[in-house]
Amino acid sequence: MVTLGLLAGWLLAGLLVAALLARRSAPAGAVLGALVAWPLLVPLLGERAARGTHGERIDRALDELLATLADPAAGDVGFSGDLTGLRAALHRLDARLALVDKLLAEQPDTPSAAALHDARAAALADIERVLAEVAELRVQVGLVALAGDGAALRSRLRELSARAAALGEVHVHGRDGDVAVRPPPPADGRG
Amino acid sequence: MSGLTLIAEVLRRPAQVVERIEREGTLAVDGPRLLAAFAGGAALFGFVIGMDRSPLQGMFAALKLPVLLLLPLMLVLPALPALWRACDVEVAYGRLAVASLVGATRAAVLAAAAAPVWWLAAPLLDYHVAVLAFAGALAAVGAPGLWVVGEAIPAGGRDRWLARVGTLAFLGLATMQTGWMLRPFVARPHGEVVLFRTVEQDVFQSLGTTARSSVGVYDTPSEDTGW
Repeated sequence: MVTLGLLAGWLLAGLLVAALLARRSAPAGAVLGALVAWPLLVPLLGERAARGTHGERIDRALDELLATLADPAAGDVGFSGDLTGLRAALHRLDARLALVDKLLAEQPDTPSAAALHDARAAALADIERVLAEVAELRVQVGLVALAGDGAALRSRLRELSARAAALGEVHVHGRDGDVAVRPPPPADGRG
Repeated sequence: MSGLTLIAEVLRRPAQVVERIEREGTLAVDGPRLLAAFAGGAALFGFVIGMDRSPLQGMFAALKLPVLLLLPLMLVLPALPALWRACDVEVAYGRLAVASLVGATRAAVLAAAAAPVWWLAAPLLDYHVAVLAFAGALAAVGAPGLWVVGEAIPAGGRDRWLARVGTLAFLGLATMQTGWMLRPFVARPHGEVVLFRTVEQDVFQSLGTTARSSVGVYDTPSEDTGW
């Protein structure tokens, strides 16, 4: 009886965690996995990071790209990766932007405010650059659907997926290790 | 990253997999893949362990081995941050959970890789030796998994050895007792094929009995419950 009671308690906890994850639109695999392995997936409940002002644009752009890739009429682009890491990186950068905006609004005249403005501009440029590329890639899926050659598109999708680690990178330069921001080079190598 | 690539990375560079999942926040996607790989690997090894007796015993062991490998970890996990904090090492529960999942997957995939060896060697083993070999095999595949968890814990702190010993002790005891409660895995040659046996004594008494039996020193029939 004790064993059955413990098992029932475990499954109930799993149901609760799975239900909470489902409400947060977690992937189906995570929801199902939480039913039995909820202690390992419960950190997902704490991942509701602060959202910045561009959160909806980010989600919309990536969802539209993924939906276009999944459209049967698009044919088989052959991209087997996912953009989860990129989505998470964009949201983290957006959340940091929101924090910076808050700080600049509260303390606009401190000595570091100018550097913070530069950093903010670079981070915003990163987000805008990636979203523009996502929109461009969506159009290119249409070209692949008509022309049939998806190799270049697959390459750009893989590159986009890998950009997550580089988003918002801070480059240290100047004397005495002063931190300043230089935006990462464009993906096409120009500039 | 595809599922097969993820499994390959778990085997070759597990610490980097832990870092990547934490850094990129991909637990929601990689977590289910790791769980699937873990369940598949553990079930395969369990099936081969039990198959020596009968296909039904193989299926029973395939169901129970994933539970044996994962349940103790999940039970002990909440205590570990507190144990390490007592030694001045701050490690987040989320990081330990990711490392545990990666470590368990590594252990299960290694177990699956060892399944052919067991398949070939099992007919040559006496029952009691097979039980000890099973325990030894679990320790052998479990060690690389535990290494992943150990590597995920930040450096520094004081008396780390105390926290390491405590972690190993908690996990070891929990795994041994869980295995005892879920037995049989290696079925007795002329015993009934059952999903669970009655819980009698404890794992330490039974391992001692089995070790003595393996060298021909038998206890009275009522005490020789075996695995």
